[in-house]
Amino acid sequence: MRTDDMVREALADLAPTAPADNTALAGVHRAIGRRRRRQHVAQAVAAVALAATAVGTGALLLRAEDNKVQTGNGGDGRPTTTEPTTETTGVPKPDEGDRTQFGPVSFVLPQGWEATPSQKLTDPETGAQGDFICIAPTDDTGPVWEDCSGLLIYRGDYIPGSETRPYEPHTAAAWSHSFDVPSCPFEPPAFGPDFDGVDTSGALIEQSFRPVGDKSAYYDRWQANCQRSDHPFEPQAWFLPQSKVLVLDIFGHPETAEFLASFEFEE
Amino acid sequence: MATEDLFRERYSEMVGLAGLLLNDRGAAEEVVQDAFAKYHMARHRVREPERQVAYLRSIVCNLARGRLRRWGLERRRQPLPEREALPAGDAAEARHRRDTVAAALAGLPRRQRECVVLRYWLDLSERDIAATLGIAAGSVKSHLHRGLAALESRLEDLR
Repeated sequence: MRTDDMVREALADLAPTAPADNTALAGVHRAIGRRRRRQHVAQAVAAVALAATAVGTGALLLRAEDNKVQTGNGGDGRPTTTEPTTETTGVPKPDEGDRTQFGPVSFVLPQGWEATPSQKLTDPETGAQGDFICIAPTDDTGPVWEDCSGLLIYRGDYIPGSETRPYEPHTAAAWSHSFDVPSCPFEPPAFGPDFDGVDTSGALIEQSFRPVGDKSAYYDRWQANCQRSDHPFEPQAWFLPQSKVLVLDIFGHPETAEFLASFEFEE
Repeated sequence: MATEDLFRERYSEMVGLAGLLLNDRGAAEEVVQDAFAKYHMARHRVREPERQVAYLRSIVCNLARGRLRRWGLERRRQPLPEREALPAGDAAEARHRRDTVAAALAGLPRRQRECVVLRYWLDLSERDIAATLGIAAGSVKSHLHRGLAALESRLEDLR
């Protein structure tokens, strides 16, 4: 018997069967419920943030269980020197306007940008936890990565790296957290034969140290490309292992350098 | 097509696909039920009926891959659970062949295994496999070639 015939026959025998009955359908409904609950939690947190912003107080403090985003005038973040060497940035610090506090760091958002409420992350293998926010231009309609058209900022004991493994600087594909093949962010979503996936296995084209505030961060830049539309891009990451903070810039925003220069760290 | 119609039509096929990728029928059913949920919540994105099944199949493959990742490689490489005893003779020979192929399949790298299952169980074309897995058609050809070559050497004693 030919190998392919043998494989065909064995697969047909091995494949489990399951009836599309009401028990299975109930399982689908439960799964829809779980997904909707997760969606509602995210929407509720977003609604709280929106309502608080609308109040227009000078200093806002938003808390939603484990999620925390604090925004205030002249925050109390103090510079520290706990990270490795400090480099001269050559980038002027932005004016001290409203600072946004996110865990141990605070920063000044680029003008016309806003921060989303934080979302919790859990390491699927160890249970370690972290959270992340997206900062992006208000009402931006540009390309989106992980539902974010701007910069993604992660912090905590779990910072995802390649295929959700904990982040490791200077490694391949550390910027792509999903084990799914991501959809090309520059094209409308398409499925089936028109699916335009991102090749996340591109080379690490730069690895060095670069400043974030007055600290020095691991810096990486990778090559990536959309497989069908041939749209190359270069994700970048700044990682501060002691502060447990990662900044991801997937699309290369012109505001990033000034934004990173505004970072201040609590001790 | 409404999600429930798609469910009635394709649930068993998707459980088969997930089962071959996961070697675990219970987990396969969980993955497929979650895949239908994910499909249902994103169904507005896929208007063309001919793409609905392809999209669903992609979700199943992606969720199965995530499940394998969580289990870790050790669990993935465990042999299939024993099935009920079959009568001696031709049936026993068929079972031996099936178990040997299953063990050989389980030893393949993830992508090769996915390509082999999609090609030889669902009879998808290389182009459709590429679309399902989000990889280039040339990569599918290469994975299939290597996968089948690896199986051929491992199944030599069955000839």
